[in-house]
Amino acid sequence: MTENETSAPAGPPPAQLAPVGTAAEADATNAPPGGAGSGQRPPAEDRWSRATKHVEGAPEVHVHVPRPPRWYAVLWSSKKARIGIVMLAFFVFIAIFAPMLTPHDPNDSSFVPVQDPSGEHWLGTNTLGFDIYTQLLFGTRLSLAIGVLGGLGVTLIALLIGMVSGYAEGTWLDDGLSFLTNLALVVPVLPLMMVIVAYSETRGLGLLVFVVAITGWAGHARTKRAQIITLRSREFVTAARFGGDGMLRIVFREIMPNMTSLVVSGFIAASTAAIAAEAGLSFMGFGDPNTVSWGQMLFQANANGALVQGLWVWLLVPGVFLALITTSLSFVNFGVDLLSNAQLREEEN
Amino acid sequence: MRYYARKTGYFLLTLWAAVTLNFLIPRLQPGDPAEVMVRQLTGRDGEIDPTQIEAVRAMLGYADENVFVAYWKYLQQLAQGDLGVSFTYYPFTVGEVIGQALPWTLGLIGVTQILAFLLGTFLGTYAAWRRNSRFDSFISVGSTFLGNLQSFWIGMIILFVLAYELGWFPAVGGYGYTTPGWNWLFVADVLSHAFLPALTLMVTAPIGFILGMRNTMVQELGGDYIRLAQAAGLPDRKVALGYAARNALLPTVTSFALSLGVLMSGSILVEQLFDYPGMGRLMGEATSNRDFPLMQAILLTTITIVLTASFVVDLLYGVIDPRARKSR
Amino acid sequence: MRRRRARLRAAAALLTAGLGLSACATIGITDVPEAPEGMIDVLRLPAEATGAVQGLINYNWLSTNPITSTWLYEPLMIRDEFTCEAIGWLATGYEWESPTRLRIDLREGVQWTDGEDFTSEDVAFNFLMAKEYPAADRGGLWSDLFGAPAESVETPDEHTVIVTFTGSAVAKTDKILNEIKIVPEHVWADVGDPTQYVDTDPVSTGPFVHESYNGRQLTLERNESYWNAENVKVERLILEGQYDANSGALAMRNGALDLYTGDIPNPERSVSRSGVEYYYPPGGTTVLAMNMTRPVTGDLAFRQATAYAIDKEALALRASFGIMDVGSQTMLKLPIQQDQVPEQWRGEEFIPHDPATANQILDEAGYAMGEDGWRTAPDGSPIALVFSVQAGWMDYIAMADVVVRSLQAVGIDAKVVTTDPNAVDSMKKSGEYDMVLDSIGGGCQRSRDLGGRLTTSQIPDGDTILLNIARYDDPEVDQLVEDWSASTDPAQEAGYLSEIVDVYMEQMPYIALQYSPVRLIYREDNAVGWPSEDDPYPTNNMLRVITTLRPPEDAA
Repeated sequence: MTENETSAPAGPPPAQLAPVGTAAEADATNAPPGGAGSGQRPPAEDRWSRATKHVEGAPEVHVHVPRPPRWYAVLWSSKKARIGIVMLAFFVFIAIFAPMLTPHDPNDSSFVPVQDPSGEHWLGTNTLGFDIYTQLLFGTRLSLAIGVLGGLGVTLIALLIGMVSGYAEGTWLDDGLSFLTNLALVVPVLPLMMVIVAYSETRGLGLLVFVVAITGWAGHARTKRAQIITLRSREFVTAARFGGDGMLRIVFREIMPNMTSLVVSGFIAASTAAIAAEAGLSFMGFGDPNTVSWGQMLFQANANGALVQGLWVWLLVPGVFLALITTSLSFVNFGVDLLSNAQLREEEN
Repeated sequence: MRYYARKTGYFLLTLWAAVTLNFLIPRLQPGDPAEVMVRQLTGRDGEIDPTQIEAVRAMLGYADENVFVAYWKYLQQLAQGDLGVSFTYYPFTVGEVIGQALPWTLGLIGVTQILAFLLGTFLGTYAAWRRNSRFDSFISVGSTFLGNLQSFWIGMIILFVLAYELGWFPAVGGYGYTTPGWNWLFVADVLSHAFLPALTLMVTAPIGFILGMRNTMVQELGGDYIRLAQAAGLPDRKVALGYAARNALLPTVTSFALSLGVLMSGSILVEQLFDYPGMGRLMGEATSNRDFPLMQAILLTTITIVLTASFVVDLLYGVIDPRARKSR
Repeated sequence: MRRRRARLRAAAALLTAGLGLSACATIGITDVPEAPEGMIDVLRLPAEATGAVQGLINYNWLSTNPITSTWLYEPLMIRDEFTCEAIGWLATGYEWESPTRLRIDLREGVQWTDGEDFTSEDVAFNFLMAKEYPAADRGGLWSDLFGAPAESVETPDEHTVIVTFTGSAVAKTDKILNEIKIVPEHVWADVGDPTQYVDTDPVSTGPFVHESYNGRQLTLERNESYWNAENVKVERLILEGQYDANSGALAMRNGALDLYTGDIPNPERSVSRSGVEYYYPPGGTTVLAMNMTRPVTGDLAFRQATAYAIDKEALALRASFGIMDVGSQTMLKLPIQQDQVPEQWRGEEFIPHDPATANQILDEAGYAMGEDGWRTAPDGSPIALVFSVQAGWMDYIAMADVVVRSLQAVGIDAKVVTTDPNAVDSMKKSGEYDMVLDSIGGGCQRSRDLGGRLTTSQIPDGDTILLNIARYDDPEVDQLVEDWSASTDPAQEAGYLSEIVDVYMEQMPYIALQYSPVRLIYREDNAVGWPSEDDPYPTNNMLRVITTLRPPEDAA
């Protein structure tokens, strides 16, 4: 039921085909009705048919009913998504196996500063005495963490507020939540970030996730509200309402599963934005100097004059990695878009 | 009619709430403006000079105000159009300061956004029309990668290569040696100084428009009315531009209008890098200096523009797309 | 094929455009007129106005964003912070006839740029203006901080000014003479509140006059009738652009700037390979301040142990790339002020890095080492110190890091927490901190710079920032500083200094880490005579520097 929302509308199941073992997918309308009871028509021999009712003497007719492709097949069918998935897997691999890929410790600042790349330090050392290659590897962890957690935070808040608001459209609940959303959209981000960061005693992943979630949820909430408004008028929702289900149950048990691919696509977009936001925040100096992240590396590179000292590796490599990880997420999102928008699907092959 | 009345009501309510937030948030930050100001004058490593701090605090005149009294005074002044005197640029008024910075932002970012919009929609349309061709792949992949680059990072590289190494463009400022005025020399000077920041912004700006337009176009092109038009024998280009693109344009224009709010604050890092005297940089400076009047005024300007754009778009939707009105 | 040709053509066009674009960088630039023989044509400096918006013209040095505050209006005297001599500027000398009576002798023959004579009327006007408008009182003449408020100002003749105070005010000398810039009475008398006056056509006494300002670039021309004109060999100054560390370094390397005073990291590698010189003399001492009202940090033994435990050499290396020297615990700028060190401390000015001694002191004081490797306080409670440092200040973070590691090496559990710089200031005001970094001034008004750090009257109260952030409390020291502030006899200076140095060395209220620099980065292809290792003199006063610059050909 769920995956067929976007494909061709289901026609009446052919009456001739008995319920024995028939594939229930609606694409059976493509198959010419064959089988018993209609002896005038010659049984179709083409590979798309397979009758399942056993009739004496009648030739075996096979009705091959194509299943709609599973979500992972759709994802993999897109070349861009494939590349994205491979790249992402690469980063996840680095994040998990970072300690094994380098002999040094990312927090070890005892090395001789400002060394050029060498056998001992593959990317050299920075002005504070850290090994750049090791920091790069361990920075993957923080980027992925902020991507997942930040994206999750944004998506959860957006889902809660956006969906309830959209379902309750026209009522005071919707008005109130929409007002809150609009306010969150226009609140000044930079001073708010500075206030939050100034008042928190420690800086770290938790603070970053909080700041990202607080400042990023509003746009997504608006989108989800719009989506749910279109879905709200479908029959299955009316049926559930008459069945006595409460609002929250309808929203989260009936409607949301139909929006899965859209929610996932939103989550990936939010993750991308969270990683970029962390880079920006760290670059402005709001990051945590005790953790290793690519944004923090860029900040230190800039503050320590990497540009003028000609320390190109320090400056370029974290930036390139940031771009690659966000690009890989965007590519994966191309694939997820195919799941929600079937018209894009036909062309991706 | 109720639709419009309702929308106006919410607009005003949100405006008031935003104004109040703008008043509160700067004052929540720790830090005393006079101390911050004096520290800037003496330098970070300099010793604290309490006498100077006391004098500057007397000059700026914000101390010892009860928050509610200050809020009421602020609302009164706002109603009279008095935005106050900036701390950073004492004794100039906030209006004078913003008046100096606003044209630069409107120029640089307004132009960049419009160019990005035009370029993006054009490329997106063409890519959707020629979907799955090499051009389409190139555009999609290329713009995704470019759009994900951090603007401050690419700006640093552009600055170093084009300004310092090659010397093709000036590195700092909104203009250089010419005198402001409506003469060719000044205009050329401005353009040459704006080129690098604009280039930096243009690397990342069009991606949203390209992909958004492309996807919406593809969705439209799959619609039945398109098949009908093609079956009826209309030429391809007319179908694409005259029908599909026009429908796809509506959501894109919406996002363009809403992106105007990003104008002010989104470009702060790029402006700081190129020493460009725009509103983004002014906002960053006001925030670091705890310059309450200036911060409040800039935020007010930004919010008003965003809310107005959103409001106008909501109204226009009611006019342009009858379906939106009907859903009430 | 056609596509390829089109692409090639596009590439060629781009290249040509690019070559033509080199002209873009210098649109509208007009050649600077050549200066006469023996003069420097032009020096290019960064803009003094730090605001992002630069088109607002205001030369008033009292405002928060003047276009220039260095070159037009001048102070009465300049104190050489190395030798502690006072160099006469608009005044030729001063004397405290008694602790409550200050006489200033003004220079004769000085003229304002509009031809009027500079007289004691002008100076008196400046002092009285500060009384009527406290916002203009930058020297603290009428406030009661660091000394009694002034009572009256008299002008017995055209070149003498007498200021009487309600009590002893000797500690205010340097601020009055160095900080207050003199503006003309005949122009400013009718403007009302001077801090709100927008000065667009300045009448001044300084070495330069404003020639043009296009909203971004300020051109200053040499003042022919300057009282010290024969020593000013620079014909023109151009102030333009705000450069951060990276662009500043690049501009210096390219020759676009002649002078830069910001913080360029690792100048040895960043700039000095391209013919740019740098000179970072000590301006003050960066110190570790420990909260004396808290049990562990308030304990003398703990502070002494900390002083021995910190590896100051490594700290200076990490924080300033080895350019700045380790600071002396006497708080004097060594080796420049070596002869001012009191006799009893000669040879012991620096606390060496000696973890063994630190461990010994801690053991003897009762800080028992636990089994987990961490010490506990004498009363048995665990120690967990927090070092609050300003986020984004890279050198401070490096210093905090070294200090904490040094403490951990002797068994003290400490950690670095970075917070917003303003939050750190709040901590200093409220006293809610264990350890922070601070900077002790190296000025010559030592009763204030060194003494003020230890007196109870300078303990911050939560709203205002004052000097004694460590909350040192000793009535004897209070009395010492009070006497010192009232003393007008230079011969007693050495005695008081010796006593206060005793306090710093024995009580260690603040632990010296490294010297804080007053940076000067300069080029020698347009001018020579800059302060340097070979020719050391303070870099903090540009008026003085400009009078020693000469064209390179003239250098002997």
